[in-house]
Amino acid sequence: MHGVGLSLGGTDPLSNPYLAQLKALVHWAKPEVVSDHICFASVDGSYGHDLWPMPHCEESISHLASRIAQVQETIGRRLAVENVSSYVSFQSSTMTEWEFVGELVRRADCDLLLDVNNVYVSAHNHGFSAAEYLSAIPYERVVQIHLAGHTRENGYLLDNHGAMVSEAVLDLFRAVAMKCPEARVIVEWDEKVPPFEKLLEEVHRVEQSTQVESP
Amino acid sequence: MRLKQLQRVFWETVRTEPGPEEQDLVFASSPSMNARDCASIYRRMYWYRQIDALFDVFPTTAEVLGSQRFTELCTTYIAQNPSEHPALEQLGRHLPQFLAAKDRLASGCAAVEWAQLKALTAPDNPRGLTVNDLYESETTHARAAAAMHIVEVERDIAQRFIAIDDASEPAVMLRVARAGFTVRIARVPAFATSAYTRLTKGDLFAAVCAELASTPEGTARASSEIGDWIRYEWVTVLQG
Repeated sequence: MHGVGLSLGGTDPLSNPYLAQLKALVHWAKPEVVSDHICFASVDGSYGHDLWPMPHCEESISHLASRIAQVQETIGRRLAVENVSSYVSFQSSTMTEWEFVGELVRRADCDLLLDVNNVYVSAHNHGFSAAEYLSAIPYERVVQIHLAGHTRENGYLLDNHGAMVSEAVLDLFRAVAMKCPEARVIVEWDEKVPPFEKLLEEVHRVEQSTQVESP
Repeated sequence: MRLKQLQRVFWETVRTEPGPEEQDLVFASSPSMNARDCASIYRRMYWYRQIDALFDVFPTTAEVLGSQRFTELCTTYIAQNPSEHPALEQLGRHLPQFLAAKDRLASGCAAVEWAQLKALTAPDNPRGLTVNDLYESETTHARAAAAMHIVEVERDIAQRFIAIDDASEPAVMLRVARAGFTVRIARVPAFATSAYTRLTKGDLFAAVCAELASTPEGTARASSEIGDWIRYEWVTVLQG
C-alpha cells in the first residue's frame, strides 16, 4: 500500500482523519508493505499534491523521525519511506542525501522503499554519484524497490513514470537487487500508459536484467 | 532558516514566485541550472498537475468552455481555492459554485460531474435499506446514500449527459448513482421526483413510499424503484 498524502516532512500537524482512514484501510487490506514518501506536501493547511523535497539537515531528520514514529504507532505497523526525485536543493542542507536517508531510517526505526530511478534522476540533477549514494544505503532496511522511466528535459531529468526504465537505471538496479534479494520490485508506469502487453514486456525486461547466465 | 519558514517560502515559490533575494536564501543552484530555475520546475508541476486533475474530473465542463478558457478559469480557481484536502480528487469541490457567476452551462455541467465523482468515491453503505425495513417503514427514516446524488439542472445541461426527448420541461431531475464500479446518470421520472426530494431530506420512509405511489404510474413502478434502492444500496436507513 503506497501513499502520497501523509506529508511526513510537513510542519502542519499530521491529518488525524487521514491517519484514521489509513489505519482502517491497513487493517482491512493487510498489505505486505505500507509506505509513503520522504517529503512534505502541505503548508499551512494547503496541499500541493506533489512530493516536495526536504533539506538534508538535522532538523529535518528529527522532525521526520518523530512523525514516522507517530504514524507507525497509529497504524500499528512499520512504515517504509521512499526517497523522492528532486529538482532543487537547499542552502540549509548540511549532509548528502544518502547520509540523510540512512540516518533517518535508523533514527525512525522504519523501513526503506528504495526508488532507484529517483536516485538516478536526483544524481543527474544535483551532480552527485548515484553509485556512491547506493553504496551507502542500509540494505537490511530495504523492503521494496521502485523502478520507473524518466524523460530528459531542458537541463534536467524529469521522473515522469511515463517511459521504459532506462538502461542506466537497470544497471544500478542489478547491483541493488543483489544486496536485497528479498525486496519486492515494482515498475511504476502511470503516465502515457501503454497497452498491457507492453507493460508486461517491461516487467519481463526488468526480471531478466537480474538473472545470472549459467556458465 | 528553520523548516517551517523554508516550507512557506517553497509554497510561495510554487504559487506566486517570491522575490529573488528570498529564493536565493533558500534554494541552491544545480550544476546546470540556477536556483530560481530549479525551483520553477516545481511551480510548473504544481499548476500542471492540478489543472490536469480538474480536466479529468470535469471533462464535459472543459468541453463546454473550451480547453483554453477552462485552463484559465481553473488557474484562477486554484489561486483562490488552494487545495485543502490530501486527496487530489477533492480539489474541484468548489468549482461548480466558482463557475456559477461565470458561465451557467459550465457551472451546471460541473455540478453533475462533481456528483459523479462523489458517487464514485462514496464509501459502501453499511445501513443499506433491506426488505425488512419496508415492514418498519412507519417508523423508519431514510435518505439517499452517499453513492446516490440527486441534481436538478436545466434541460440544456441535462442533455449534455443523457438523451431527453421531452422538450416541455425546463428543469430536469437527475439521479447520479453508483452501481458496482460504474456511475450511471438517469433522469428521475416525473412520478418519482417528489419522492426523491423527500428522500434527500431524510423523511419517514413510509412518506417516501406514499409519495412514490401517489400516481397510477407510480403505483405500477414503485416496486421496481424501491428494488433498485435496495439492490444498489442507494438508500440508507437513519433510524428504525
